[in-house]
Amino acid sequence: MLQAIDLSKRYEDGHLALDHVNFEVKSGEIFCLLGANGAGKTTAINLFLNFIDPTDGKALINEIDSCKLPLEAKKHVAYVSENVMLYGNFTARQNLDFFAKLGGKPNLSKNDYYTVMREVGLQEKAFEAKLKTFSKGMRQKIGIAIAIIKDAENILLDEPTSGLDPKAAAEFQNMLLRLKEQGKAIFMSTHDIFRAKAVADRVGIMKEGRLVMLRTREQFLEENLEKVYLEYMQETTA
Amino acid sequence: MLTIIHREITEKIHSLQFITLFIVATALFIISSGIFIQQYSLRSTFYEDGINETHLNPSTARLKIFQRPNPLGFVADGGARFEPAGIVLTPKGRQSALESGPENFKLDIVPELDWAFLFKIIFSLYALLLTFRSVSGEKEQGTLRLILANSLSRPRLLIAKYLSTMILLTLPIVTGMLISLIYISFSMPEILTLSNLLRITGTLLLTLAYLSIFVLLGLLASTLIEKSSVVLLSLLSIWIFMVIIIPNTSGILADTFSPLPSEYETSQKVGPIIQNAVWEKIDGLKIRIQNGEFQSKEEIIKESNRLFQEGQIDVAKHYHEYENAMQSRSNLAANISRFSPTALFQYAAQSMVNSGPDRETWFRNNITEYSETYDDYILSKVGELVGTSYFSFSTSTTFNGEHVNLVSPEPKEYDGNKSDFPHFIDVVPPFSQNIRSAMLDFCGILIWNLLLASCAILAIRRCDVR
Amino acid sequence: MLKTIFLRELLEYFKSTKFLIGFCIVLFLMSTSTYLNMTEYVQRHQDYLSAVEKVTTRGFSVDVLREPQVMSVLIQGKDRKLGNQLEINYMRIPVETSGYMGGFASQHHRFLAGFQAIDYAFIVRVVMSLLVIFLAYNAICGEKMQGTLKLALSNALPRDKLILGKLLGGLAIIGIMLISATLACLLLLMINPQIALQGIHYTRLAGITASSALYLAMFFCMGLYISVLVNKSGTSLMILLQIWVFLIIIYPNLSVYLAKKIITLPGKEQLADQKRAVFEPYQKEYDINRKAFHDMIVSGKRDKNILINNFNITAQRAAMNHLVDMEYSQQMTRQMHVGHQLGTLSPAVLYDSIVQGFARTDVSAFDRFLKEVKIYWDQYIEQYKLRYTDREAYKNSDLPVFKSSQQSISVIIADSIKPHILLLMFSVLFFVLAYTSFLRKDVR
Repeated sequence: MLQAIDLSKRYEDGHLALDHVNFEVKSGEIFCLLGANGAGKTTAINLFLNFIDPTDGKALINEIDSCKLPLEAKKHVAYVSENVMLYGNFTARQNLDFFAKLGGKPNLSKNDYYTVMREVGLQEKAFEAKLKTFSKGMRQKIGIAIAIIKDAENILLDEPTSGLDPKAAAEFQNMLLRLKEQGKAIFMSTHDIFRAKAVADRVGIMKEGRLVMLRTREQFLEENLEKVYLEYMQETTA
Repeated sequence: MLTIIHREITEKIHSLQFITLFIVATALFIISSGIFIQQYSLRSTFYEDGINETHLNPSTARLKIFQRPNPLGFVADGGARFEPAGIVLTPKGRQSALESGPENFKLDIVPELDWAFLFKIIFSLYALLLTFRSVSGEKEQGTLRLILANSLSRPRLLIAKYLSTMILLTLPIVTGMLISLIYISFSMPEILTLSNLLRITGTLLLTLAYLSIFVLLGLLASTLIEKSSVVLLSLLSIWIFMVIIIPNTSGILADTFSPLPSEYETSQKVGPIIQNAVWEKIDGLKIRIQNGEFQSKEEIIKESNRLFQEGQIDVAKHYHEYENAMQSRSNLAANISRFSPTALFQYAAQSMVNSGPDRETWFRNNITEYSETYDDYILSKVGELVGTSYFSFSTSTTFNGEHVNLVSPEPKEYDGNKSDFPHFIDVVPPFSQNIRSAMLDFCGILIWNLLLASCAILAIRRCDVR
Repeated sequence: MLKTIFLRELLEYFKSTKFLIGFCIVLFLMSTSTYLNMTEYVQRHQDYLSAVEKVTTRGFSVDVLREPQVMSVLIQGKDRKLGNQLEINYMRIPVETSGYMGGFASQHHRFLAGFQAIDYAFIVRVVMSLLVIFLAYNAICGEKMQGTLKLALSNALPRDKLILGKLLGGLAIIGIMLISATLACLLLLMINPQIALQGIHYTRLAGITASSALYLAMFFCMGLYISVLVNKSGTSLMILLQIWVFLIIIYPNLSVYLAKKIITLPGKEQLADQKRAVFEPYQKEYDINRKAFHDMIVSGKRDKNILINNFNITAQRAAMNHLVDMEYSQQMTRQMHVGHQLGTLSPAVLYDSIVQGFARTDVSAFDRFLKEVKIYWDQYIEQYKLRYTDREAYKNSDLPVFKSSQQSISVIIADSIKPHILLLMFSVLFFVLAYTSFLRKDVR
């Protein structure tokens, strides 16, 4: 379970990136955070991962404060970043192996890695190929494989579908739904309103550091989500 | 094309890299001038003192000829501190090294911090740093495709990049040179002569030609290799070899490959030569004395002196051969090092400002010429020419029951008025002569330039810009 | 955790082009330079042995010879430059060697004097330090650019373990490079039948390798620090190269100039004045004896007393002059030491002085030789005197043999403690800086 309680972040230059944000992602739930560039979505993720300290409020992972006990908290979360390069000189399996060990899974076999890579839809011939030969979509699959192999209860995804082709994006969507069925709490920041509509149980819209809208699946399926989103965005520019 | 040059210059001139280059270069120029002024004043004092001493009391037995310190030593020192302060000339043209001022041989050998050093090491490195990303970096950023999407030929792009880097390098060089010159001319206004300024301008041109090699090399590697970091690694490897390894290994390579006997082996031949050439003659003399060939003691001594001097010719020849062998070995070393453009530049720069081994050779040749005048003077005053020997001897014999000491003869000092002594005049070779000796090395540098330029243009034509 | 990171680092280095290229260059340079220096050393040593053989014949003067050091193949230091032969007699004890040819002829080495020796020490000091910078410059900022830093830290991985793992990985790779390079050199030395290595040389070589590792570790820590400090790999490399140029090329140069400025050496004339002043009380006696001796030679009549008196006073003069010369020589050593002290902040200067100490190719080895020469001179003079007092005994006695003592390794280690500590301090300092700034680093 991921919880943001009054989460605020003001940077050294005075910019208020996150302004008392509250939300909760329960296990077996996909929460999508929508918003323009610079709305504060990535800041929220950085706070959960303790890459920065909050100015106010808390980011809880399985009710552990990630600011106070970062290492303990990070045991229960996996992270998929936007456009990760990974280690170019290493093969897919070696990359997976390294991050699995860091994620607290030191005793996995080759076959375990292969299973996961098959699961994310990577072609067999790529398993032992060097990462620098990979396309963006393939790299993203490895990124997700790393998250899967860690087998944490919570998953943070930062713009995971940006730059993916439709087929890869569709595969990715299925992946997420499967993870959800396994009971993971999934937090995803995205620009992709259609993707959000397809998978999210709840969506939030962020604007200038504030969470300006929260809708459950039932709610946003009733009203037109695109329209709502654009309305909120226009208010910004107005 | 001007647009590109303009963009390149404005982009780089504000970069941290260029600003540090500028500051570091200026600081180094100032430090190098400061050091030079101090060393030059020490050398000048030593020189003036020596010259005064010689002028007051010129010797007909052992003439000290001091070499004027090079006022352009700050451009290219040419190993002045390894050279003797001058030459001791004795009758019959024998030259030996004059002891220089105090020099601590225990200090670490460090290269002289002259302009040539700054150009050949520091600036060549900067030339690489300024160029290694010029093509590969733009490829990585994707801007190369954007630029080439316009109607601009690839070689023109390369030329634009080349010219802009050269302009960027010229700025700190000219600034540094001017600051240096102003600084030095405050304490040594006499260096500002037309000929010296011409020599310095020549060095500037030479420097630009030299640095252009590295700029072209950087451009070439940057076009050939995809990743900027690999480009830099390869360039630095080449740089280390060209600038540091090849010039420094040439000494030991020449030692290894020129089949000369070692110094010890050569020295071992001296003994037998002396034995053959001198002692046997003296022993022969003793027998002749016993045979009663001589009438008086004076006659014996005269004959012994003559034999000794005759024997010395062989010894002198041996030393001379060794000296020539060392000289040819050092020439071989120089030629080996000419594989590297850095060495070409160093030698050409030395010629430009008249320093280094060529200067010493010129000086010694002049003394050889002068020694005739010197010998004539001694003949006219003392009446006889006695050359000094590489070794002295002393033995005795008996003549008519009388003890006779046979010792090696020494040149005599003339005690009379020596106001008409023909002093040696140290002249600097004409610039045209120096230019001529720099020409070959300069051509070498130009060939490197042409070679790399054509490679770079070929490479960018074939470069895969995807 | 630490092990995982450490192993990944090692694997990364082994797979990278820069390591492979660098490693090949280092191995190539190490073996060729060792081979060339070895040929040169064998010649020098052969000359030394032949010269020693010749010394048994007694003349007016006797040559004292300094053995070239085997380790000069790897660390030439000043071994070649300081020369091998010193000619002593009862009138003179020089404090500078002359070449075998003596005087000006030997000076022709000066044509090659400006070249720096390319040897083990040079390759470690210049080439490998640059390579280490290349290995370290993007340790942290490179991972940040790749995004792997964020990914790694999204796990329950303490930051100190990450940077410690990087340090250990770097040290291991330095160790591997250095040990293989050293072994390559050692192998070349061992297969050459003309070079006999003894136990002590292995110990010295081990010391040299360890110091080299420390020196390179310092550069690695520095690279690590800069790579934590800046975010772009390019900037990091640029800064490191600037520092490298300054520390390796410019700074040692300046420290020598400053040393010359701080300690001024007396000129030749001052030295002559000093000698005159010291000998002043005996000058009269000396003049009288010299004259008597000269007259005796001219007359050809041997007088035992004149000979002995002349010998005694001349030897005394030589000994007194020697004191002044030694003082001057010490002054030169002091100037060099000041240069080293000024160069303390440059690891290159520290490194050179340490390894030259280990190889016995430094100035202190030479100064020790000079002291031993004086001791030998005393013995030699005692015996030479017999020539005048007891000719029979003189004829039956053998020329005393010059022995130079081996300096124990513990003394060398004790001498090199200070520079070692300084090098270690620099390494630790840079690592602590890297460590603390990494803990506070913004990894986003």
